[in-house]
Amino acid sequence: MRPVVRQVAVRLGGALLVVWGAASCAFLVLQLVPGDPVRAVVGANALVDAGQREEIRHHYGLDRPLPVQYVTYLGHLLTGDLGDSYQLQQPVSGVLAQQLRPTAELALYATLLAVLLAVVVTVATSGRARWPRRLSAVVELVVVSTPSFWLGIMLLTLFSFRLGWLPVSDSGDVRSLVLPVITLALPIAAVLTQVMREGLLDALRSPFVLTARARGLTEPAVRSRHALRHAALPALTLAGWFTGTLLSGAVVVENVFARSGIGRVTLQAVTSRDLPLVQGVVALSAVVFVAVGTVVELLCLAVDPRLRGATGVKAA
Amino acid sequence: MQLRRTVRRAALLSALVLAAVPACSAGGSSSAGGAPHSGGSLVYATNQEPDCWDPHTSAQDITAFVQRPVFDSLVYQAPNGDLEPWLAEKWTIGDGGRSYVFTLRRGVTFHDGTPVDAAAVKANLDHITARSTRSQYAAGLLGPYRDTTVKSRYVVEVRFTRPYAPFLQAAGTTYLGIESPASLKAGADKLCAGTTAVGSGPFKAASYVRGQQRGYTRNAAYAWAPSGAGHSGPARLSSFTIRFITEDATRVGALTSGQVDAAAEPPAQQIGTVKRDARLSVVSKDVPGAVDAFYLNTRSTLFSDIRVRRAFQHAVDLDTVVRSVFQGTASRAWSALSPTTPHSYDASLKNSWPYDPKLAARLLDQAGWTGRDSQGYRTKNGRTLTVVAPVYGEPSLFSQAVQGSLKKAGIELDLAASTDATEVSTLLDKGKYDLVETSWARADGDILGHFFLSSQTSEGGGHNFSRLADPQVDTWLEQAEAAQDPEAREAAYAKVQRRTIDQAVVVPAYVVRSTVGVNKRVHGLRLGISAWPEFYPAWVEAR
Repeated sequence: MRPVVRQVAVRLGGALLVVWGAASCAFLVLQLVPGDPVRAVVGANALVDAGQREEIRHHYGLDRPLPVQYVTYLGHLLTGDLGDSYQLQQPVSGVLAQQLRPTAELALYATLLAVLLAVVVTVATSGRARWPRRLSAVVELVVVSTPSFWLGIMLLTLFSFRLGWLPVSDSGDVRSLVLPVITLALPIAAVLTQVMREGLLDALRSPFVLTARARGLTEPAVRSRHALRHAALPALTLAGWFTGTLLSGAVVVENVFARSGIGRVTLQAVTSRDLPLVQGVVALSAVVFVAVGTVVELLCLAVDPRLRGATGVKAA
Repeated sequence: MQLRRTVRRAALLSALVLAAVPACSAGGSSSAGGAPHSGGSLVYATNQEPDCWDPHTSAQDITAFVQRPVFDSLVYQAPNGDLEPWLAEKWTIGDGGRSYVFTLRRGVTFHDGTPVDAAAVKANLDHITARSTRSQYAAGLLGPYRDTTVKSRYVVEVRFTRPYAPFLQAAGTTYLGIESPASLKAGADKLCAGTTAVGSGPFKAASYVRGQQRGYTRNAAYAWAPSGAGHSGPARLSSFTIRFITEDATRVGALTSGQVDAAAEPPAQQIGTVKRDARLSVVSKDVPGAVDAFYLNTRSTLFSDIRVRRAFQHAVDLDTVVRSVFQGTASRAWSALSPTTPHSYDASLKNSWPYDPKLAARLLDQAGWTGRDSQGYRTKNGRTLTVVAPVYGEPSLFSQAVQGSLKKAGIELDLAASTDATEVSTLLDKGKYDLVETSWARADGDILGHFFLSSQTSEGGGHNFSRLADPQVDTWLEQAEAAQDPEAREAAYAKVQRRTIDQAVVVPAYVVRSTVGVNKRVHGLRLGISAWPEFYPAWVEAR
């Protein structure tokens, strides 16, 4: 088991390095902004005298030397303390923790829907007939090229404003998840489908497929049970892109559909120059990316037995 | 205090953006619909969500708006600007305007059951002025504040270091709202989080989900409404909800599809749609305070010449620009103050400085700007007539339209856009600009002092962007601040408005209008003094 421990340690170390790098970048970039950060805290339409300015400077530790601020920042980061938001005047970790659930919920359902759609469409359109593939390719192209902002508004206009089937914004109703999830999932599903079909068609030309067919397996079984695994690998490697799309998509979707979540506070933080909150979002995103990366590596092992060589499982 | 909402985000800088979204409003949508009906609820969609929910700390208009139903104030400023007793049943002003003694109404209780007494008022003023509150606006509203003394159970004295007449109006704002002393002990982070607001208002704060909505439930014990509130006793609505829908299209769609009962700030191009809808109506009101205006830097090389300032004043075709950009959602301004600013607007300025390109050309010729460069801009000794205007973020459609209008007069408006707030504020502090465009909502002429008193420099946290140091203007503004007689104050403010136009220190541009689209099942949702909706007198028809 030794090598396993080492592997885990290496991976953990790498993960920490990534998070540290992202946090340091966020810290440094924000230091490059010239001028007095107290200005960013109070904004310009405030009536604040010099004494209050000093109080603010001291409260956020802005009166200390930069290296000290950096070390303090990293130290706090280790304990999960992301500092106090300039504008919300609350601990950043608390704000993010509170907003994590709605975003996670949205991302989870969007992922499930995207994968489901991609698999179904891939399997359905990779037969001998060419026309389903062509039709699907056109639809995919249109969906991928549609800004999700516009897509969201169109879905709202049709299903909420006109038909009245679904509520416009989140008011605690489960139905309010439907449109946001579809808006977030569609572009992802379209890209996944393109990649997976490419892989599936390649796999279907392989000799093992001929063997499987010769054994008398039905066409759907061949496609979904054997060839799809091969198609899934290239799709899995897109996980980084996938995560990024979910996070950035959440900013758009949460604002269009007036949902709470990380995307909503991110936009608010950026517009109001809430630097600690922006730093917190960067650190959180780094952690999410690292976590997703690890999960995907494990998934690859599950999908492709050939990668499990070291674990003693024979290559297929 | 209204409009500040947008402005403050980008800080005053955002003021520079001009694009400031107007505050909401409510003029009063009641008409037919039978007798007022008690019970029921409504959903109001607003386009902004407060950062910090404590009006003692926050400078945002939206914070004042969302907490108004929860926090009462010592005095009430009616929509016509009159000040009326509220938590204070009467007051006397002594010591030459340095002392305000309030006698509180008895029998008033906070939502937590504790009484509203002199000690509670003192606790609030102490909280506002405490350094640890980091007040961004409320403490500033208190001006030359000295201290507060409890005289007896229901009598409290607030003292200032110099006569300070604007205090009563300030005391009527939500920023100086009276919160339960017990809730104040929760600390800034809890108060800012918006989940612990306890006041004495007609509605109690209910659940709040950031990014989504805030609920309100009726305070059944409410019996201390001011006489001008349009209703008395407990509120008619048994509850209501404010939903935060920042996306314009979503908010308007929610209104037109009946999913919300009222929605703030429909975009200009959608107001027509809302008006044509038989189930909807639109209420609007001009936001009081300092209108959106160009403050010309009287000490810049360019604008230290009054002829150039006057030329600028007459060179912009404001009527056309305001009409085409705002399509009726804002009107052209003639004074630095909005017409809805109580007891201070000088109406005689109307039409006194019309668009006059010939006059502008003559003035520029006299000032020596006689040459022309290849693009048609005027030049003098090889220098182009360029007006530098720092802009935070993207230049608004309006400032771009003004740019186009000025080009015809041979003036180049350089909208020095920067997304860096600190960079822009450094420019402002150092006076490295020719003009600043901004606005500031407040229902009192005292706002003029923030823009024209020689002591209100940008470095010192003031907004004297014209860098004006006119002893005559200073004297009038100080007189107004010290005078208790509303007519004397009005006369002094009128002089300041006329002088600043005559000297072309400021070029007022447009009056921001607050607009709310309202479903006709809602009645009595009126726009208060600050042009934000007041929920207390509102009622809804049963569905």
